[in-house]
Amino acid sequence: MKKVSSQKIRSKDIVTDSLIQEKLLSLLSIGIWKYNFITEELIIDESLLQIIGYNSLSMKIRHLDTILDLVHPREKANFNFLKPPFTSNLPKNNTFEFRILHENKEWVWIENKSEIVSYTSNNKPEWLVGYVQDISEKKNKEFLSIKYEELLNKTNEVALIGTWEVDLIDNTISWSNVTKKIHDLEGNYSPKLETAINFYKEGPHRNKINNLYNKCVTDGEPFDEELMIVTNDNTEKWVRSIGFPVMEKGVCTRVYGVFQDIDEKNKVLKQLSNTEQKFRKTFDFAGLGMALVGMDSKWIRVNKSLCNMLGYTEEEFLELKYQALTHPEDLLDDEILLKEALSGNLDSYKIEKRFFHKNGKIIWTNLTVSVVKDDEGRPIHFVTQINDISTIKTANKKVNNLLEITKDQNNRLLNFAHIVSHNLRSHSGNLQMLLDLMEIDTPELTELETFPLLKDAVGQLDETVQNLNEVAVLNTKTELNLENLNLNSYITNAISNINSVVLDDSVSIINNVDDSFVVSAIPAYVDSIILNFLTNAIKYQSANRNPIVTINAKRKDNFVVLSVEDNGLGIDLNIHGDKLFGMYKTFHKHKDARGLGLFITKNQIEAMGGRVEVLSEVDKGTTFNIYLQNEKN
Amino acid sequence: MKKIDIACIVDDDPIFVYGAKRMMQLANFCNGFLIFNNGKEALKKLKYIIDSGEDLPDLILLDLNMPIMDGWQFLDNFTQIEVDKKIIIYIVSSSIDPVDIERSKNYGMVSNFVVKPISTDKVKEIMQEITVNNLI
Repeated sequence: MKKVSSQKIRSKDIVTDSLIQEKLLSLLSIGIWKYNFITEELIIDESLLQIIGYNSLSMKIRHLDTILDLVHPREKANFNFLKPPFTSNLPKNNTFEFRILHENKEWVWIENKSEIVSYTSNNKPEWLVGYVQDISEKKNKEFLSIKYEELLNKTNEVALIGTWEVDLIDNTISWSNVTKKIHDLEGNYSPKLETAINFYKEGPHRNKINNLYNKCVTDGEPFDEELMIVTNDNTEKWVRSIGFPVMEKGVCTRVYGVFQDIDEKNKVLKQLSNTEQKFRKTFDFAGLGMALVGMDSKWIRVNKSLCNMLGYTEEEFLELKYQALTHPEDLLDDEILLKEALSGNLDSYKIEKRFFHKNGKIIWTNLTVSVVKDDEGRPIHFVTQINDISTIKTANKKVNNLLEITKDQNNRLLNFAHIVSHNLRSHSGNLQMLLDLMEIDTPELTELETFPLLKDAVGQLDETVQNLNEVAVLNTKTELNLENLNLNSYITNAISNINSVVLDDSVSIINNVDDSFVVSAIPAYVDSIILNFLTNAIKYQSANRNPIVTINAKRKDNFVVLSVEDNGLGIDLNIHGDKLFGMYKTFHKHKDARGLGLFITKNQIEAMGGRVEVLSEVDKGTTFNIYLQNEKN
Repeated sequence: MKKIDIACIVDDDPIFVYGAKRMMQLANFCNGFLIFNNGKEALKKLKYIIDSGEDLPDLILLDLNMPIMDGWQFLDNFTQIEVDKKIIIYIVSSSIDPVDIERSKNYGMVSNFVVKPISTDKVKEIMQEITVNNLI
């Protein structure tokens, strides 16, 4: 084996130069070879051998064939020119690529550049010098890029991404097949520059693309816009159109771009954004305060109502944590519930809670917090509704105050009633008693003109007090014990108790009530009620006819209706109707008219859950219908 | 007509006591009176009388509204005491509350409920009732 450098060794410098050169070549993976056409001598340097994994010791080059044996069969023919017969027009320079088997049994791509450097006197090639370079890496990249290009085309088809290009020098436009397909056009369609843009929907879409395209051409501004086209089939479609200018010396010579069908994607997005917009509108314009609160208890969004409610601007609001706005006494409750909600035990909760207005005033609110979760059930944030109930609260406070006052007044009234019913009555009783004694002790007194007047006055006082007493007793009743009572036996009893003064032979009382009627009532009240109506019926009898009182009973819904009908004076209900059951109302110039009976009776009936009706005609008679509760089991 | 020996009046109102006493004297109701101003005083004295074996009253006119111990409390306590003698008790009150009247019926030893003011007629009615019902 001979080395390049070993050919002509003249001095140490040359040797050194050769070594450096060799080193350099090996670093660059460039090998050198020389060939003599006539002698078939082949000289290969160390760098070349290194490229294919050998060195001068491991490989002895005897002949050209030693190397050619390693060359890939497909590329072997490249070396044919080295062997005779030599054609006369053998080119001086020759460049080709070939594969050669590396020592590790892998193919290495080599680029060869050779030149015939000397000729014989009869003009035949003599010496050839070639240098080779390992181009495996470059080759692999080439292959890869071819692979990628195929892949890209396929991807583009699948993703409906098309390309287009406008050449501004010769004013032509070209579309990729996918671009045509997006336009619902056949592959053989050829677009025209003047009409291509008309596929964009007339109006804002076409105007927009015109502007963008013009800007791109004149100012070199790229664009990326989502627009609507009307395809060859007359369907509307959303596309994403991207344009990119190629500028040469400040002038746009070409625009190329990408065209993507985003119709489906856009429809879904549009729907989403509609929903989102609806929510936003609801959120922004809701009359009640609404907020989105993050898991870190920071406000994400707050609406106008909430800002107004608490007196902050939105910017100020978002700076504050809700804890800072909450009344300290309400913080604990809220936090406990929040924890529950976070742990997934609660989806929402509702509490009454106080916030602080910016001006320091307390705002009472009804707070509803709902947890918003993602697909996997993890909480993302809270939706909070805050309703200002300060006015209600203030009103409630007023009502409560009034209630307190009323209670207080009622208590005082009860005390007053107590005084009336006991003390006043004792005193008037005593007066009457003492008068009686005076009359017994000193009978002469009765002859005095004033004595009967005094007696009258005391008598009237006693009666008034007694009436007041009855009213007071009625109003102080708090507990009622209703019993099942046989109505007939109470009527019979009442008839027998009627004062003999009013009950004389002229009066007939007809009791049509049988024992089947049982009412749920208070015995003492029923006594008093029946007696009162009977006495009234007899008392207000007509002077023209004998009094007849008829008592009937019937069932109606859950009531027993007891009716007491008389043929007496009657009452003009048009005049007295609304006052009939009032306190101290009398309608007849009757000596016994107390005016309190009906008032008390009505109250007693109502206290037992019943009611009373009246039907009357002047000089014909009156009927009272008394509704008492039917018996209870 | 049997005559009552000692009548007892339990009432805090001196005017009523005076009047009642006079009425009863006029009607020749009894021989003597025992007067107490409230339930507690009555209970204490009556217990003393029982313990010392003195004569107990035949009849008690009992007011309901009294300070210190009212008529109801007196009744509740008095019913706990064992007494050999049968004592007639009349409630004499200015109350016309039916609840009070009903309540009085729960006490077996209460004979009747008299609403104030008392008059000679009412005294006579009581005397008659006692005789008719053979309470003594």
